[in-house]
Amino acid sequence: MNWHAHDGRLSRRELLRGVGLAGAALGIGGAELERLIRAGQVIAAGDTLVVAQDTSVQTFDPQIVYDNTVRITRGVYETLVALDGSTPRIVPRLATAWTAAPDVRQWTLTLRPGVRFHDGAAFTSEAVKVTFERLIKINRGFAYAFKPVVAGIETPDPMTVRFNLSTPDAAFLAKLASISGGLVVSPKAVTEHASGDDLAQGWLRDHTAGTGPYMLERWDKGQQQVTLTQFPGYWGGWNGSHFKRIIFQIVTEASTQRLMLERGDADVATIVAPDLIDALARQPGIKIAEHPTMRIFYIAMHCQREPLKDPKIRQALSYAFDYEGARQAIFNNRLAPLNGPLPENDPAHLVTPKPYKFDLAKARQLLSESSRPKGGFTLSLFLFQGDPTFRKAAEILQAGLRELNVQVTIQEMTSSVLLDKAGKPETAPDLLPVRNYPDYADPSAMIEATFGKDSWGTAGWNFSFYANDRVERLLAGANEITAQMRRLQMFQEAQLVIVAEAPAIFIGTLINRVPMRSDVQGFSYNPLLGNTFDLYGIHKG
Amino acid sequence: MAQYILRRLALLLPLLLGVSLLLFVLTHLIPADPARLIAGEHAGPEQVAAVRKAFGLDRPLPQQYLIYLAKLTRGDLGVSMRTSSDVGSDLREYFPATLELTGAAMIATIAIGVPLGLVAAIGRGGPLDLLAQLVSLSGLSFPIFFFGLILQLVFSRWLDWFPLAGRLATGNLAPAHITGLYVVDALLTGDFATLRSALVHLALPTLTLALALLALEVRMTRSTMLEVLSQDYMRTAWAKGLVPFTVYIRHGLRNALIPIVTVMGLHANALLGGVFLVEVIFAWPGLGLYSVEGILALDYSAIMGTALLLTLVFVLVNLAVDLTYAVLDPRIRY
Repeated sequence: MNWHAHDGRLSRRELLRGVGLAGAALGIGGAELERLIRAGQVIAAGDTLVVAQDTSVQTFDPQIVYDNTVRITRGVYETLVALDGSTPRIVPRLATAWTAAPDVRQWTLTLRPGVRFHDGAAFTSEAVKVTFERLIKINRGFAYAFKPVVAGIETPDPMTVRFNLSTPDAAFLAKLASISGGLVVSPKAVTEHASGDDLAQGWLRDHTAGTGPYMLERWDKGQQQVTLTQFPGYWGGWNGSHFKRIIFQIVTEASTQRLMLERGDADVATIVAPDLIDALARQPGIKIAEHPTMRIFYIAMHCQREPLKDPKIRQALSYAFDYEGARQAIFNNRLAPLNGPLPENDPAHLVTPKPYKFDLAKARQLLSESSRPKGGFTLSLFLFQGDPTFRKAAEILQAGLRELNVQVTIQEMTSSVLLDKAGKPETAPDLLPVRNYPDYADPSAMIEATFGKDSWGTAGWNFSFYANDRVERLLAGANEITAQMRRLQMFQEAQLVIVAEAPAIFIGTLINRVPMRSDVQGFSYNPLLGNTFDLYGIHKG
Repeated sequence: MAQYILRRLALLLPLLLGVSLLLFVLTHLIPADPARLIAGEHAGPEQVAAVRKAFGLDRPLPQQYLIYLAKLTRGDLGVSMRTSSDVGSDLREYFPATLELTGAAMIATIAIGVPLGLVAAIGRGGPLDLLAQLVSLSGLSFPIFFFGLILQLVFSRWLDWFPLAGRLATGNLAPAHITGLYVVDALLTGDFATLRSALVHLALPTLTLALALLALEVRMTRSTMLEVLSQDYMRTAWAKGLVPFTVYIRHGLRNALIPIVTVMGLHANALLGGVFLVEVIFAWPGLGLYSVEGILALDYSAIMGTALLLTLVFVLVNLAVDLTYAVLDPRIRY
């Protein structure tokens, strides 16, 4: 007999006795242990909103922020004009009235009196001048919309500001109402906290000085937590129901956000994965706010390179995509239709029925009339890494094109690598599934960025490398007049040209789905304001 | 001994230099333009060029490297393109969280792994051995994120025993900053409410990290102990009539410790790798989250800073392991 076994028996008896004793101790102490553990978890109070935020904070600087941190900064800073509810209609905010010169080269705005910044400074035309000059000088994010057009800013009196433009810009007011960039900052803070010529970028990275309803109370990097608190001197007042504090807890992992919402650790989640949101929708105590966005989902086709240079082939591809299958497989049926560059909720949307449907016979016929009647070519397709919606769309297209004897090679890469390649016509793929949204409430924003000749690649968002003189003339013409009816007609004409030439496969318009606890009330979403929601109006019922 | 330590530390310099050069070349070889990501989705080419100039990316590569090195000698790790803040201060902010988590996981691995391996070896073939094998096998078979999600679901969602994520309860203030390790800082300042909150928040991520490494620790302890148990000196110890505790711990475990400590050193390194995933799942604001975002945005300074810091940690851990040998076995001299 080997004597390990002998010793083992002895020890085992002792050990089992020990384990038993420990178990008993744990049993006795179980309730106490649970009480102790629970004491470490504090559930948020009713006057506090906890948002599980998907993006870490890089900066709060209102002239730089261009990611989902605007969800936070839009509660702290305000724009001159705003959008009414969920519509593209422009309404007063820090400015109460506005006029455009007949040649649309000058916009004059009257400012709201009695507004103060969180640092005590009064809001005057000087603040507007400092803000926009700062935006243009820093030249990041949203500066692209103002830098080419703003020639100068005048302040005839403290309550009047005048923008002089270098070219006519009928969409200028809409640009002022956009999600970021034009968020007005305190000139006092910019002067007092400037270090060298940094225009206070260093200070405004971690601090704020706006006029908005909420002030930044704390940005705790160690806990990745941003706490906003009510600004008592807010010009809009605090009548009605509002949260006292709003906490953004940064949680990038979607499944963790889901569990936080289920447990009540968070009131609002910011995840987008359709499967997780569907799972949440089935849970008691949770509701999903659903609104159509203006975020279009499409596959760009390279119009400058053979074989897709041939419009017939692009049209054939547009008929070879299973739109209905994609709606179900990718978005669990939550996708609004799209028949051109502008979504249904855009005032200039084409009211014609969807021109391209899934019709392989029609696709084969168009291909037979093209420069490659028998197919037999291979197209490259790039995918943004980690986005299942793009991958599924690519696979659906791949399957459809196989029927036309066209092969698709799919390559997945990180966004930095992908954008570098897709940004130039020489290295761009033949096909690129992508999303785009208008940056401001004017149809020109989307059409120009997606199919404008100056927006090729990453200069805008024209990954089709599409250019059409008639479209360019129509867009330029629409910028020179303010008569809205005529402008809408011009945008519709431009869309008809684009749709006929099929520079992209228009799959659909995304639906914004925000999961939240059932007692959250007053949630308001505007499709032109990205993934943000109005922090002032939200409250618990 | 002091000479040995100095020699090892002196080797650190060329090592860090080599790592920095390798990383610099590798990160810059990636055909991507971080300036495009920083400037924003709809930024024009002129805007992108301005960002490139602001961060010195328009200079020739060798010049960029020399500038980086010159700054490094002054202890300046550069500015993160993503956050525009000093990488050194970012690391000071995020590293303590990672250190706290890996430290706790290390302690948990040893505290559970060594005793489990020990009893498995002593009771070879018995039910405890089976249990240890089962723990090892599952630890080896499941990916770390799976453990994380399961623990969250069971202990947080269903049983509601532990918080789901984060370092403290939402809305709680961090303890006064001394070390940046919340548990230690709360203890030092006598802030027991925060200490409790920090400990319960630490529990699940620690367990997740520890479970993945437990397997190796248990198996290593078990096999080394089995070998030691069959040695002549063990038989002598039994023959002398010593109590089992003295035989197993003082004569057995002590002699088995050297390979176990070696594995622990390797574990510390593996922990720092695994911690990245665990940090993402548990929204633990440490280096993992920071570097993953840095890598995705190709934030050169952040990637380099993190890698250099981790290299330093690896070297120091291995040095500590080597020095422990001398403590455990007086025959080992440096």
